[in-house]
Amino acid sequence: MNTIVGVETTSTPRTRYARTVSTAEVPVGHDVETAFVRGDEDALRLAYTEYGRLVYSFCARSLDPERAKDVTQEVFLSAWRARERYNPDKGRLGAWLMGIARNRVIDNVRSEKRHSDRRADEDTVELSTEAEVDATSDKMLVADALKELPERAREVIMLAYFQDLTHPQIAERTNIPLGTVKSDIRRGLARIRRHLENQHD
Amino acid sequence: MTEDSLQLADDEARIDALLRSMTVDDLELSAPPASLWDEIEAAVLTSISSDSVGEESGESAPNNVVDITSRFRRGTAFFAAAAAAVVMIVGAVVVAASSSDDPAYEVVGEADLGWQDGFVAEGVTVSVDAAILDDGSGSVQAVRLDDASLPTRADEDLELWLIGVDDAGELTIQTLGLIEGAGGTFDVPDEFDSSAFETVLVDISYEPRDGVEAHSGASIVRGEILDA
Repeated sequence: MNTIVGVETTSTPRTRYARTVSTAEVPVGHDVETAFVRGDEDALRLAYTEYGRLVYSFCARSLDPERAKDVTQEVFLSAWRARERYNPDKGRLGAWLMGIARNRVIDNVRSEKRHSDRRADEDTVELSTEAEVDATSDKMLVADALKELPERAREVIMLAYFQDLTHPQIAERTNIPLGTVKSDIRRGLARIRRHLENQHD
Repeated sequence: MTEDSLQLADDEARIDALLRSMTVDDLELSAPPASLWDEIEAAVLTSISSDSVGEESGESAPNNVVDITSRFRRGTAFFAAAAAAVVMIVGAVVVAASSSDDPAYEVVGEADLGWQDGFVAEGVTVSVDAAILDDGSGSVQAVRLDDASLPTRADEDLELWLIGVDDAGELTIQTLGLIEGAGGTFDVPDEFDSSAFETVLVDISYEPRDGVEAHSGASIVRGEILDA
């Protein structure tokens, strides 16, 4: 890794451009995963636009705001440097980024817990930490996956899981045949599952 | 969902259980602070953080930033890549004068620019150095590239930048424009006051023609300007 002599490396730098460009100007229709694998110059920006909310939301639920911001930055930097290890066949970019984020968050939470309660049984602490962080990570990925479902499938799943309607009630409310309600839910769950898949080591 | 049941595969059953454990609050993803992207981009630009997901990728040569003992010194550092077939020299002369045609340029410093990570694999070795000229104002006002025959990329331009780093580590990135041909003189806009920074770097990057004016992050060479 190149270093720059004379640059303070411990502080977090902020950039300001002579010409300001917002992330809203990211070209549309760009396949972020393909761009990431190729190492395209704009791939990191695309990945951040696509998954910045997901990674940050996950970090913010497990860490204090300042730490969440720092860890989010670390996740995207680490991912960019390790992009050759990302394989789209082994999972979505979002799931891979969340895998990196999970490890960073667990390290941070463990460190915080050790500092705050040195008398606690560390094994117990670590087990509960990992379980909690994993659950949060999965929930955030599900939330992200729901946004990408076809509208009808998303509506049906929202009614089933977040308004506790039975399938017949959903069918009645939406005028969708009962069989279609069930198949929409089943297919929706399968899509969400694929969203969470991450077979990277 | 109550008594209804679906014949679900194990994996889907896991998602089913996950959804049951969630509340509407879990569906709200929060936007990161507005400044975060700039910070990430700046950190990529300056290669500040050296850690990665796993092990380090190995030792690599630092930028060859050296004391300048004579004016117009150049070609002081070469990276001997195994497959190197071509050696190119880019000489950047940084001057302090209000116009690039002003004969009163005075050399006040130079910089050796190091080959940046991610471009070594192209099998080309590059050594770049820069010299600063000053009219006594203490602020860099132009950069002259004597030979910028850097490898080109299809549908991308080469762009010259100055990066100012202040004592708090804050970066200011100033474009000096696209590099056309093998070099030229590039005026530094008045708004970039090099005397306000602790460190000023010369940087050359690949820029896709995508309408995005910010630095792409794809730096080919970069190095610190040192007083002559």
